[in-house]
Amino acid sequence: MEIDLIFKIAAIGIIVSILNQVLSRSGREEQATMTTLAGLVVVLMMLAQKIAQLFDLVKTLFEF
Amino acid sequence: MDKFLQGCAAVLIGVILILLIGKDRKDLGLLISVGVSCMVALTAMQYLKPVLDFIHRLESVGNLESTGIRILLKVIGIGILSEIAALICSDAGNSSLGKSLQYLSAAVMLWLSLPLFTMLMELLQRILGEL
Amino acid sequence: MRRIFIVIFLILTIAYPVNALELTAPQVPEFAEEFMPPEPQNLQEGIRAVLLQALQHIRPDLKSASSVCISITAVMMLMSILRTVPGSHERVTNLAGALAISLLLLNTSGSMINLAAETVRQISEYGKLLLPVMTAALAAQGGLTSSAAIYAGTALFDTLLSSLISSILIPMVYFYLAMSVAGCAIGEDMLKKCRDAIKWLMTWVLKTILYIFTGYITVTGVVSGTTDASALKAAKLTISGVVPVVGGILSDASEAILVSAGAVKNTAGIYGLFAVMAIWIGPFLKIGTHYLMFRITGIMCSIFGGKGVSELIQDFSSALGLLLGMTGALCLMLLISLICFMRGVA
Repeated sequence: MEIDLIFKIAAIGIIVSILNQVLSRSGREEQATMTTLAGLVVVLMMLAQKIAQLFDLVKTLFEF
Repeated sequence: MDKFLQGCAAVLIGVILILLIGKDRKDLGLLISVGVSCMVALTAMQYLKPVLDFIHRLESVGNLESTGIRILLKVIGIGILSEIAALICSDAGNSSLGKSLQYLSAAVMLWLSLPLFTMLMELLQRILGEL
Repeated sequence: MRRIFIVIFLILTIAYPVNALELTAPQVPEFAEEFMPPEPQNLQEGIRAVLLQALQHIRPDLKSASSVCISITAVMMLMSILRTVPGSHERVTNLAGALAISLLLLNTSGSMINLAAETVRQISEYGKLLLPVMTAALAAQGGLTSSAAIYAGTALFDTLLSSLISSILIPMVYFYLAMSVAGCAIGEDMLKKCRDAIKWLMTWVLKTILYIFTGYITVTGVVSGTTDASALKAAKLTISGVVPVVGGILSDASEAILVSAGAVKNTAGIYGLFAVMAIWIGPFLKIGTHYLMFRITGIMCSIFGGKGVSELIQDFSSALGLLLGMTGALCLMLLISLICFMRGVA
């Protein structure tokens, strides 16, 4: 049970959102969009591991 | 027991974080909810492991056919996963995707339970063949 | 001198060769030999001896029945565990559980059904051998009309009931089992209604034949006598409680048995009585043990939840109960007519 993963995701989310605001306020829209995308990709990669772990466990338990 | 309390805490924290971040970034909010659901499901599976071991033990005590049990377990696994995924879809506002996934899981469950129906037919034929 | 010759001649003409009619009951079949009482003094002792002999043979049946019941309990626990896991797998769980339990119970039930069919055949055949002997004995005592009446009625109802059982009722038991398995597995109410209808029909057929038979015996006037009220009540309660389905009618007809118990004299009749009981008691206790064990398991499993599956187990035990009713009806029909023969000329 790794609650720090949630905090990591939340932290990345807050950072991305702040960067997005700053960059879009200063007029660099494309960089804002890229930052957002990068943040999403990082979070997705972290989550994909967890989801793969869950599917593996279900596979072994329920004999898929 | 403390794993359960950790799970409760994780869910509550996740809800609050989603409220905080989901205001601006709905996608990150959804990702947080996916992450929390995964972790709680993982913990639940770990609690289910001894239960399933007990089920296998019952299977050997009762001299039961293993095919039926295997099919049942697969169906339950599919049910759990598809339900979690469908609920996440409806959280994201795409309940149509969730519904499609549920149709897929229902079709797979039906396909999995075909051997059971075959066994039922054979059993009935055997009973009525004694007539 | 001439008178002496006439007397001797007359003696020789009336010295007619006479044969004493040897009336012995036919030999009991081998499998029932072990239940026959050794040299009984009277009816009560003999019946007690037969029962005690039969009870000693219960042990292995109890063991096999309880092993089946343990397996069934394991399936029920499994199903109740799986039902608590959330998900939409209710129907598949029901299907798998019903299949597993049916497979477990079917082997035992099949052998019980074959045993019941065999017992019915044996009782009927032994009756066919025994009845002419008893008819001749009663006719020799002078009861020509009553012996003919009892023989005619018993032979007719015996043949009717045994052929009905072997050709219609036993296949209907299989059909009943098929309906209950399908109804539980699929969950269709229509199949359950069919199953109830079949059970009602079989019960009605058995009861009607017994009603007509007891009515016939009463009308031919061979059943009479004073009764001891308390003994009669006890016997009635026992029989109606022990024999399912048709116990009520049989307990009423048992009045005849109690009344005539004291009037038994004929040794061929007593031997025949014990022989019929010996043929019947072994299978009866075997099927009865399984019936009770299945019923107890069904009630226990309804505690775990799973109403459909515990109903399935109760259906299997009802099928065994129907078998008990069939064999019990035929046996008691033969016993009643034997007692009527042995009462002799009223």
